[in-house]
Amino acid sequence: MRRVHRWLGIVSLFFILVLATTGIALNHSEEWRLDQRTVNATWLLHAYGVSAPPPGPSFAADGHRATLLGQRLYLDGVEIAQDIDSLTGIVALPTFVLLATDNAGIVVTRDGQYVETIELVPAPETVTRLGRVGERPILQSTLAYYSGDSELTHFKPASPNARDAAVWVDQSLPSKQELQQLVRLYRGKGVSIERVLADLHSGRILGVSGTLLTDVIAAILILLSLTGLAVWLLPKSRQNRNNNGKRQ
Amino acid sequence: MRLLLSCLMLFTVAPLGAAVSSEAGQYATSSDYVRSAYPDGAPDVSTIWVTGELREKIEATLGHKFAELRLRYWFDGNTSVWILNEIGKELPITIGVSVTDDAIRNVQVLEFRESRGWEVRYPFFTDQFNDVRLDNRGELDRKIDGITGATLSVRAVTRIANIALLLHDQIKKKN
Repeated sequence: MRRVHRWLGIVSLFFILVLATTGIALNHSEEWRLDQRTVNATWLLHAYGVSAPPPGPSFAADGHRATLLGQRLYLDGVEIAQDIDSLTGIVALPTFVLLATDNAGIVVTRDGQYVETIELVPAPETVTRLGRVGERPILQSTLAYYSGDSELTHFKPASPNARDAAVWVDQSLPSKQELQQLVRLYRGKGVSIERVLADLHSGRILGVSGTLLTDVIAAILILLSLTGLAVWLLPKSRQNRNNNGKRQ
Repeated sequence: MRLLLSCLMLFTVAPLGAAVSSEAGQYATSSDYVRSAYPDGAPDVSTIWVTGELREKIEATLGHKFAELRLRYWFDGNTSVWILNEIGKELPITIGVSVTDDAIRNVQVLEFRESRGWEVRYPFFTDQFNDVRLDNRGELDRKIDGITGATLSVRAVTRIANIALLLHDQIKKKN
């Protein structure tokens, strides 16, 4: 019996430590503000499905940078639109910044306030690149060139002179810092420490197998307490039997 | 018998489902709508900034924040045309509204992106808005009948009709 008890204790040692420490931490979750502090480890966030996709197209113009991450469009590190499938260019004008997708233009003020979404080219044409001629935008579609006014109210077929004078904005890579900031934004607040501890405590962190494993450990703990009780009681009863035998 | 019934259901209901989901889509472009509102030639596009009291009124009508800071419209001194978006359940519905003499002349759903509620595109629904005006409280002066199963889309179109009348009133004051 002692041998069984010893082996059960050794097997469950690690799990008892995990259960006890996570249990204590969860008990003081509010005091230690574990529900407000988040986990940043990439592998753990990935396990929770909180991960950013690889960066899509990125363009920079006149101190502004637009990057598509998944279907979210960011301008200067701020999310300005969702459900965006493409990004084909950016141009900074005196009052506005214009970002082009395949078939639409997203107009934003120079300080990043969303203004409106406009139709840039008639269907089925799509925008292939964006640039500027002085303070006016110019764009190339799959069929033609169009130039607009600086207030972005009208787009008309561009003259050959405008085409020749155009300065086109090509794709460029965001810096590592910019990209890290976008990934942080995309992930949002991430996962709280309290959540991770609760999942560790219940075994859910390993999915269904983790929950089953916790069940097994719980069963071992029950056995451990029973074998411990037996080890404590059995010698006493034997002792009692021996003492009774001597008196007789 | 059960197997036979299942097969029958599969072959009759499945194509019906496919037909229903294919009802969503683009029915007309903005340019088409503007052209149809001005058969003799459309005026140049103008813009209006949605700020201050106008923004408050629009947001009160919508019951949520209004994303756009600027809107485009066409106005020939009598008729104004608006292409506006409003979310039905999850995705925006693009709606064209033309207003003449403070009354709605026409409402047309230009693009519907969700799988349910597309019935609002049909004239039996949109014709109800013809000649509707704003009352003293800034609401539509006529009750719009809903469509079973398309409640959210009906509300979205009704709100946009209300906003188009508000905007028409605003540009008339401006001009």
